[in-house]
This record gives sequence, C-alpha cells and structure tokens, in this order.
Amino acid sequence: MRQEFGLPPPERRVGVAAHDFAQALGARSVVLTRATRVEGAPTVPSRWLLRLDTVLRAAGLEGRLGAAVEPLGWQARLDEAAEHIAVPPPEPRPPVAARPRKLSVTQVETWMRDPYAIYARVILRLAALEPIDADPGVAERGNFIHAALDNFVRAFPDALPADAERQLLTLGAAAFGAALDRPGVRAFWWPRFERIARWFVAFEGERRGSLHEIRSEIKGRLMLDGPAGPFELTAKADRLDRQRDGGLVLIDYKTGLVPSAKDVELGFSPQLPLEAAIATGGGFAGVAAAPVAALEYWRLTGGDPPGEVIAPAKDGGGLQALVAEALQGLSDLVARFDDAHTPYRAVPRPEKAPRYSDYAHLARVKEWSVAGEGGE
Amino acid sequence: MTTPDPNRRQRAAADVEASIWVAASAGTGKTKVLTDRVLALMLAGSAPSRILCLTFTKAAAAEMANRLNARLSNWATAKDGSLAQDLEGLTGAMPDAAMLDHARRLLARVLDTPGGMRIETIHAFCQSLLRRFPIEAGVAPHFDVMDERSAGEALAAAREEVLAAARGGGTLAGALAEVTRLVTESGFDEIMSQLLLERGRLHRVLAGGHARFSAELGRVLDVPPGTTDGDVVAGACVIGAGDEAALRLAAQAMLASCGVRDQERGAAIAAWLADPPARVAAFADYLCAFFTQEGKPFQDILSKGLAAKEPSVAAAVAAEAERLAAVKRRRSAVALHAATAALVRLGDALLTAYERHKEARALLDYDDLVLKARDLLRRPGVAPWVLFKLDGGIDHILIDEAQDTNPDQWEVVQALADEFFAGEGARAVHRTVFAVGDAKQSIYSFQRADPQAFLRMRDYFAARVNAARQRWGMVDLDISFRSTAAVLRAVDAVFVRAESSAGVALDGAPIHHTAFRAGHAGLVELWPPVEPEEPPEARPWEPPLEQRHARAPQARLALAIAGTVRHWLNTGERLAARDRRVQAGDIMVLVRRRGPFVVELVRALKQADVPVAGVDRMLLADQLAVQDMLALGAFLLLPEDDLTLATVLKGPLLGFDEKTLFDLAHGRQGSLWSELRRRAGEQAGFARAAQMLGSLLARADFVPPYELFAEVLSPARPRSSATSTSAAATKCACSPCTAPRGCRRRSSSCPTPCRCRPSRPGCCGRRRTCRCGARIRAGTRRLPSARWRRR
Repeated sequence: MRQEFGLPPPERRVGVAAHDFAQALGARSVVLTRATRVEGAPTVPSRWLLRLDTVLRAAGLEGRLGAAVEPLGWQARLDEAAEHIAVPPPEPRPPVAARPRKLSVTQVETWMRDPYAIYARVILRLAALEPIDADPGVAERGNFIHAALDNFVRAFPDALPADAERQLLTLGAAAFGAALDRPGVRAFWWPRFERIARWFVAFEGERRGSLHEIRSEIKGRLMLDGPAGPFELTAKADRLDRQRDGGLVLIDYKTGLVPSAKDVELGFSPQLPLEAAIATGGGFAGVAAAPVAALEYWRLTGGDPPGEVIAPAKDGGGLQALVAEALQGLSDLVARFDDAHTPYRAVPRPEKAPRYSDYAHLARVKEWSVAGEGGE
Repeated sequence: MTTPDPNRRQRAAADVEASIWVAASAGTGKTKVLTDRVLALMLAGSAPSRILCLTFTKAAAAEMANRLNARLSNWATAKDGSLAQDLEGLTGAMPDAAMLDHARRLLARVLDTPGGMRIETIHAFCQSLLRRFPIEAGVAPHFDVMDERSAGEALAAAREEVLAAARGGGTLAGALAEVTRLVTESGFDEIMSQLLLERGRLHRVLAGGHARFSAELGRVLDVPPGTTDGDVVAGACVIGAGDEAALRLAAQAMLASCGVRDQERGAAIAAWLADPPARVAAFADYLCAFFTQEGKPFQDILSKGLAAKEPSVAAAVAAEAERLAAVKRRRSAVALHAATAALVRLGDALLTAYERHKEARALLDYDDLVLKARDLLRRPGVAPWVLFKLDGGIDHILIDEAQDTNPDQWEVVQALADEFFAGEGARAVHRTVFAVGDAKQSIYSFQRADPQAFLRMRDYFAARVNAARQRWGMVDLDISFRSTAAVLRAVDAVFVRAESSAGVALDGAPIHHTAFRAGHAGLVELWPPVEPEEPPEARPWEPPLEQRHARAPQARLALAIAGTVRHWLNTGERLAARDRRVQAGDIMVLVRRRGPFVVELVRALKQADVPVAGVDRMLLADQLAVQDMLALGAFLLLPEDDLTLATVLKGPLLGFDEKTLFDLAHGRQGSLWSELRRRAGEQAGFARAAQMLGSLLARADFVPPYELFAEVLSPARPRSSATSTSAAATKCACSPCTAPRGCRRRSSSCPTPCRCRPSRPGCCGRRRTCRCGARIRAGTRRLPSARWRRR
C-alpha cells in the first residue's frame, strides 16, 4: 500500500541508515558513544554494541576498541580548580566617621547577633529587594495582625464598644486585604486571627479598667554619649499603656516566637528593656517620663491558647536591673564600635545568629563557617 | 576454620523446575543468584521473552541486564573447557556438546528477542501492561506518567481547589475548621500527602460513604454519634459522678496537711466540689490537682507523709484520679473521632480534585500505575482475557528485593502467578515463581513496603505450589562474600539483643551471618559518640567582638573520619586481603541518610586531599557555588539590585575584598552599578569588574542561560582584554605558560589523568609534564569540549 502511495518501503530507512553507518565507520578514527547514565540510572548498551563487542572478542581484537578516556579527562579538567583560596570570615573595620550614629532597638538586636548585617545595611547601604508577587509569608501575617490591633486600639482608646470583637474582625479583614483571597490565607490564617481577636477583646476588656491611657505604635528616642559623639537610639513600641497608678507598661505583640528571658537578659533580644529605658527618660512622644511597671510580650498565635502574656522580668527589682543593664550594655557597645579597630563580624556567635539574614551570602558564611575550624 | 561452600545453596536456588523463595542476607550474592537462575532457565530451554524479572529500581534492572549480557557474551566466545566448567558450576551437571552449542547461541537469542529481555521495575511492567490494554484498564491510551514534581504541583493545585470550595460553607467548611484548629498550614500539607499515600485504604474505608465511615469510626473508638467534648465534660461533672463524700473528706484532710502542695490541691478539690453549677467551667482547674501541665498524672498527688498517715484519703484521691483519667481518655477519643472524620473528609475531597486534575490531562502517577494494573488484572470478565494474552507470554516470574514490594504490588504479582498453579491454565511446561529478598533489609516502609508481606507471600505461594503438586523450595543464603568474620560477628552481636532483633527478624529466627572470607583480617572499632559542645556562658551584653565557630558534632566527627583516612593513606596502612597499601577507593563510609553530615564529610575529606566522590544528592539552591551563579543571574536581570551586585563582586568570579567593596559602596550617589561604571578608571579591580559584568550584560540578552553560565564557568571562556589584568597571566614563574593538552602517552596507559598542580609559589598552575612523566603537548589555548558544547 505504501508503494501505491509512492512512499518508500520501511526497510529503505533502515537500509539507508545502515549504509550511512557503514560509510562513517570507514573513517580513520571513529568515536562510538553512548550515555552510561540516564536520569541517574545506569543504562544497558545497545544490542548492536554488545554484538560488536562479542565479535571483536571472538576475533581476538579485545581491548583494541579503546575506551575513550581523553574526552573524559577534558571534562574533568573543566571542574578542576587551579588553586583553593581559603576565604576568612569578614571583619570590615570602616573608619569611625562612616559608622552609624543612629539605630533602632531592633537594629541593636541585629548588632548584637550579626554586626556584619548592620555594616552591610547601614554603612554600605545594601538592602535586599522584595521579591515580586511573593506569597504572603510569616512576616506579612505578623504585619496584618499588628496593623489590625493598632487600628483597633486607636479607634477605641477608652472603653471598648459592645461589639468589640466584630469591630476588630472588620479591621482585621481590612488589614489582611487582598491576601484573604488566597485560599491558604483564608483557610489557615483567618481562623487563627478570629481566635486571636476573641482572646484579645476579652483580655483587653479586663485590663481597660486599670488603665489611664493607651498609646499604640508610638515612636521614641534616646540620646547616648559615645566617644565619637552623641548616639541616637530610636524605637517604635507596639503598645505603651499608662496605668491608673502612673506606671507604664510596655507591650510587644509577637505572632511568632517569643524571645527567651535569657536572651533578653544577655542583650540578644534587647527590644523591651531598651524601650523601657526610653520610656523612663520620657523619650516617647507625648508620654511623660515615668517608671516602667511591667514589660510584656503578648504571644498571639491563635492556637491553643490563642494568646498569652509573657513577662521577661519576674518582678519590679529585676525589671529595673534589666533596664539599667541594657542601657549600660548599649553604651558599652557604642563605645566599642566608636573604635576604628573594632570589626563588624558576621554571626560571631553562631548559636545566637539571627534565624534569617539577608547578608549571609554577602558575608559568605557557608564558605568559612566550617572550613575555618580544621585548618590551624 | 573451614571455608563453607556457598555454591551448593546457590545452585539449589537455580533449580529450574521448582518455585523458590530465597532469604538472602546482605552480601550473600543475591544478584548472582538471580542472574544464575535466569541463565539456568534459558539453558533449560525457556525462551528469554517468557521470563519476567521484576526489580525494585531502574539501576538494579540495568545492573542485572548488563551482568546477564556480559555472561552470555562470554559464553559465546569461550573455549569449550572453560564454558563447560562454567555451565557445570551453574547446573551441577557436565554439559554435552549440544548444551555447549545451545549456551553459545543464547546471546544471539536474547539479543534477537523483540523488546529485549524483560528485566524491569514493577512500575515499568505495570506501565507496559496499561499501554497494551488501555481500554480494558479504563485509562487514556495516550496517558503520560507524571514525575514526582508534577504530581506535587497537581496536588498543590488540588489543595487550593479544596480550600476554595470550603469557603462555600457546608460539611467541607466544618471539616476544614476542625482541622485548621489543630494543625498549621505546613502540617496540613504533610498530613494530606501522608493520607494520599494511603489512597487505596482511603477508598476502601469510604466505600460506604462518609456517614458510614464516621459511624464505624465511632464504634471503634466507642464514641456514640453526636457526642461532643462538652457532653463528656458535663457527664463528668454531674453530682455523684465520683465518690464525692470520700473526696470531701480527702480535701479536708489535705487542707489540714502542712504540705503546701496538699493544701493547694485540697483547696482546688474542695472548691470544685462545693459549687456544682460552676463545675463545668472550673473543670480545667480541677484537673490541675491531679495532672501535670502536660496532662500526665502526678506520680504522687499527696505528700508522702499524708499518704502514709491517711490511707483512705490516698485511696479516694487515687480513685478520683483514675476516674478523671478515664474522662480524659474519652475526651481524647471524641477529639480523635472528630479530627479523623474531618481529615478523611478533606482528604477525600483533595483526592477527588487530584484525580480530576490527572484525568483531564491523561496523566497517571507512579502509584496509579500499580493500582490500575492491579485492578485490570482483577477485573471480572476482563482479567481472563488479559491473562490469556499474557499467559502466552510469561512462564517464570522472578522478584528482586522482595522485602520492599508493597501489598498492592504483591497483588499484581499474585494475579499473574496464580494462573501458573491453576489446574486448567497450567500447561505442560513448568512455570515458576522465584523471589529473593531479606526482611532484615526492608527500607522502603515510607513507600508502604511491608516486610511481613514477604513472609506472608512466601506461605501463600508455598500453599499454591504444593496444591498444584509442583516443587517448592526455600533457600537461606547467609554466607557473606562481602564482609570479614569480625564485621559479621559485630553485626550478629548487635542483633542478639531482643530489642534490636525485634524490628528485623520478623519470623523470630536468630540473625546469623557466616563469612566466606574466612581467615581474612577484620576489625570493628566503636567510636564514642561526639557530643555537642556547650557554648561558653555569655556575660550580659558582651560585645560581639570575638569570632566563634559552631563546632557542630557533625563537623567534628567528619574531621575525625577524614583525619583517620588521611592517616591510613599517609602511613601506608596495609590492606591484608589484597596485600597492598590501602587506597582511597578501598574505603567506604556508610551513613544513615543524606543529611548535612554528608556535606561536612565530603568537605572534610576534600580538605584532607582525599579523593572522594562528591555528594550524590543535594539541594542545588543550598550550594554556595549555585547561589553565586544565581546571584550573577539576578544581577544580569536587574543591575540596580545593589545587594546582589555586591554579592557578585565579593564572590569568586571577581573576588573583591571588604576594603574594595567599602571604597565602592560607602557614600555612593546612585546605584552600586552606576557607581562601579563611573569609577571604573580608579582601580584595576573596578575596571575588571565593570568590564566583565558589562560584557556579560550585553551577552545576557542574546544567549540562553545554559550557554551563559557555561561561558562564565568554563576555563576556556573567551578571554578578551580582561586577560591582561588577570593576576595569573601577569606573573608566572613557570613561563612560557602553556595550557596542557593532555599528555603524549595514550591516556589509557597514563595512571593518573593529566592534572597540573602548582609546583612552586607564584606558579599559575600549568606544568609542562604530566605526573606520569610524559611531556605535555602544547597547543591552542581553548579546550575543544567548550567549542562542541556551544553547537
């Protein structure tokens, strides 16, 4: 039938291929190649190659068809390094004039944990770009919840309305915005926010009676004297409440992990003590200087329990000591880094490294973090 | 010590007329037994196309095919004497001339078999079955098999679909609310993929619908329909639910005790008893008198003194604790019931959406291949036809790694092999089943491999074969060719302990290995565990001035291993079995999983200059070198990305140090890239970076990514003016500098490839003689491989 259509018989193709092959095989030097692995699995040589091998062996020509080592050698050469250059951990020592004179309390935390990140961000002005159209992550969820609570507290600074929970949910929906259209956000985050809202309204309702004044997302600053001039500490507190007895309560909403009391004490999570130092000095705009009565993390997970208050300082005395120590610690830190010999090291204490850093690649941490240990 | 003869048992496994079940310990020549049997079957006259050999991985299939082919190719050319000897070893009988002739022709017969020999994975076999009978199996004839990645994507799409559907309310929304209360988003994904692995069972339990399943689950958990947590708590709080009179007395006694704990708990009990209407609300507090915060019962509710003085109090409190523990169990059962029903409902919806997704695109995933092939072979009315067509095809089934075959896969084998032993279907020829495995080595439980099934199927086939009055044999291979006696004794010693053998010796038989390599030296060393180092205690606000390194135990162990290996190589440790020095290739490091430790180990070995095969599987994006390339790519796409450009500048391609980067970046006006170009004239480093990145930016729009990265990485990167500024070319002590082209000796005769290493300080690393002593050809600078690659 193929012939009637004027098509060549199927054998023709095979014959032509065989002819071409025979011709090519007559060349002075012939390379027969095959893939020894496909998708990671070893392969079986073609039947024809097997036959050829067998015939050659029967003819006593075994081994004359040499394995082509040379191209493999070339390939190996491509991957060969002429020399290994060991990269030491970075320790930039910029001139004092280039060093920052103003940092926020959260930047102080970074400074303690990963000075190099401060160097890259503030001194070199290198900032990571936001990825385009990224799925909202843990950080965004925290921002949504912070925004909702901020708007709620601003809207109702005194008594809570009767339908407080509904109001908070409305504000929450506004804060979540378009993210709520994502099924994952709607299914997993929103129910948790609902539980947080219920807990928050109930807890807030109880507290309100003992409060005189509530400030939300409030900015503050404090000037320190450093060897190379004044140093400004800035902060934005999630909440600053004044109790009826005049004492101040500093609150930080945490939607993720709450810093351990140990890390707060050691200065690795200095946010609340430093904010307390600012408040004690009257550094928060519109809030007169007053003793700080309590520091509180409000852990808002929406799980079980949905919310929880965690205080890093057990009692008033401990709190005062914590705040004094933080202020002193920061002064020392400023003084140390006002010395041009002090380097900005990358994650000098690995166990206290920030969980996520934009600058690990720039600091080439992976290159020296382990390698440095074996050498000397 | 006499060397045991393993050949007798191996030969028993090659008995072509019997169906045989082989339990083969590690290193006992499992693959040899399998290939020997295939050879013996063919020698006995079976056509190659009638033998089906199922392996667990593609690699194993290829390995077997290659071994068979090599053996057959040998036979085809072997002299009479050695061939006869080989055949005798295989069959136990001296071959006659006709047999020798037959053996020589086998290679051609195998090669001429259409489609080749049937040595394949069970998935490949199922796929070919479905291709052959698509209509009967109810699959699209042009179906494609999804890889795991696209299966994962399909699953993610299905998940979004289900979550979106749950917004509409109804039972699905209720189920979702129940589940989200308990798990986070990532936890949910994990549970769902687990559930999907069990899709066969999920279909079975849901055969009667969700209501039926819920009722059945309630029956198993003893939870009547409609019971809520509140019901259970309310039931536990009604007056008279416990022995309240005794408890009141106990509470009084506790309040009177001088122990603070006694008083606290006594007060809690008294308060709860005193106010019946508030009991439900106070139930959680009440539990605190009996249970820890984690919900575990207190060791001692009462202080020792009180318990000893007032046994009746102790008894009353203990009885109440018992009652409350039962209440807690009931609450758990209720919660479990609700969560399971909700999860199964979601899983069902997810599975439906996933199936729809696949069906619309004529896709099957790996599990589908097995499940649909199994259904095909079991379908009434269709199965006989399929089996009839196949019946003409298969006389012998051989199964490798049988311990890792999962129940669904066994059902496929069963459906095929049952015919062999059915009275009417059985033809005059002997048809056999052969499985080789080792229940001790089952490692694929996460793919639902069930070593118990290996034993169950053994008994099943034994019964079938015996009923058909055919020969059945069981062979135990425990003579290890691989390891020395010392190693095997250590292994056996581990499994003497009941708690270690419980998991692997399923039939309760003692685990015993015998070494074939008797008399060979062996040594087992146990190293003490490497413990984490406690970081030094920090002072509050200690400034971060000192660089410390994480001395992870893994890194230290890796260094210890690398050091030991280096020591062996340096000191010329003898390899007694071979009577020569140990070489790096003699050493194998086994790890439990491809974790971070493997990365550390490879790094440590490379640093110790021990030739080592690299990490065979890794997360590409975790590798610094890959990150460097990605950063370069990101810069080429968006030159204004300052941080990424700085990362590229500091990377190995350009090698900026901190000082150079500071000079460039600090106090700049615009973007880092504009600054670099503006100041290119100031420093050689700036000039080189601006030139190289500029030319790459110009190329990036025209060449595909592969070519671009290949050019960047290849040493044959076309060098333009950049060469003149490159450090290597300017000052080399071994001038004239010529790139080696491979040594003049035939590569195969040179023991080491022509690697050139820096021979003295300041050398660019290019030598003119190869390590083998041969001169190195000078030639053009460009390696041909790079030219070919560019097509």
